[in-house]
Amino acid sequence: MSKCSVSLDTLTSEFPEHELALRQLASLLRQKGQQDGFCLSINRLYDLIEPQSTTTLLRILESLVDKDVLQRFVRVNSYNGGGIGDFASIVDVPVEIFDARMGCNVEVNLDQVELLYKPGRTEIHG
Amino acid sequence: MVKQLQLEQLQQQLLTTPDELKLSVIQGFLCGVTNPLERQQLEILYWINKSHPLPNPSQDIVVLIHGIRTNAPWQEKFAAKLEGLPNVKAFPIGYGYFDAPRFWFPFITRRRPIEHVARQIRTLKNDNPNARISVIAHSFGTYIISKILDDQTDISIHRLQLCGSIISPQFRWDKVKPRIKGAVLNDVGTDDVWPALATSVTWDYGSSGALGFKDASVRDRFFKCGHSDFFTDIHMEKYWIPFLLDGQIVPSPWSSVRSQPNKFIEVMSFIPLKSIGAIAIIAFAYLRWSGSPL
Repeated sequence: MSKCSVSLDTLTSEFPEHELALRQLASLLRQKGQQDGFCLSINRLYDLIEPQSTTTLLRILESLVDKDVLQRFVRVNSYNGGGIGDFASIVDVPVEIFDARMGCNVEVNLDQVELLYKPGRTEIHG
Repeated sequence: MVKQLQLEQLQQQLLTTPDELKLSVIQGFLCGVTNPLERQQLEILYWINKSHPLPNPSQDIVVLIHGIRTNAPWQEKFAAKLEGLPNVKAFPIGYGYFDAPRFWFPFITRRRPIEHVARQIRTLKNDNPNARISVIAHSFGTYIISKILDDQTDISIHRLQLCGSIISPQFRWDKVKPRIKGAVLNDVGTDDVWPALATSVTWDYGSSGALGFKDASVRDRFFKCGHSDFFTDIHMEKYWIPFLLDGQIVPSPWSSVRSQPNKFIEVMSFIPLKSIGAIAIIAFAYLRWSGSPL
């Protein structure tokens, strides 16, 4: 898959008050972004970015997704551990899903669902 | 931005919902939001709040300072937009109708509005000690806030949004920056001739509203517009609210494609008509006094 790139300055000039956090995120994505299955939970992103409010974090994440630096998805986890299905939104999560780790269909509960972000097709340079 | 109210409604519903039904309640609630962008934002806000609930979000106060020769209806228009957002209060600050002669005269007359606005900000600070106070200023209002930041060292603010700025590009932002916690953003109108005219005809003003500051402490954002063309719904919602409330500087497409500045603006920024006029008056007075023929 061919990669586009966006400069770190483009990101930090949009969110100058979170420059340090965006640099740390860029560094993390450069170091670990290529690892298979690497993704970031909303908790991890919150701790990394330390936003002043929830809407600030929302705006930063929206911008990173728009630029395809990150891709957002919702994962359904098995009670036996590990993901059993990825979806674009919580709205798309089915009522029932085949849990390969348990070998049967299971009803999906909210505590099995989490929002995750994985590296997108755009790399951050600079 | 999606209304916090919707999120609170959803969270309220979830409180009384059995665990096994919570997923379908969220899905049903989100499907009821017809705007796809709002639905997406609401979903993300739900996840963020689930992991990091903020019981007492800090209060944002936005002070709006207008320019001269106007009662500035944009203040009330923008204030209404801000008041619709959770935990935000907007305060349009006026100093009466300020005419061109008082604007031109470089002494005394400019002091009163500066002191008046400074008093208003202090009052807001005293009444709301925990609030974050950000300022948006237009034209002469930008001059006022620059003087307040320069002279009134007890006043600090959260973020500063300027438009139609007449602050000198030589203003020492590095001196006042420690008292501005967030960013300073200067919306520049590349067709705005008034800052250049003000620079040319009187003292202590600058063309930063037409040419930018080009200063390490200030972000310039360029638009192809005139002095008072910022006061549209789109501009306020797309550019000002994200900055004042969340510090996001939404890029302007014009910033990267603009060409050379307008020649008139460049020339007026350069020619000191005030000095030429002053010299001419002094020369005239001297010749009259010395009795030389004119």
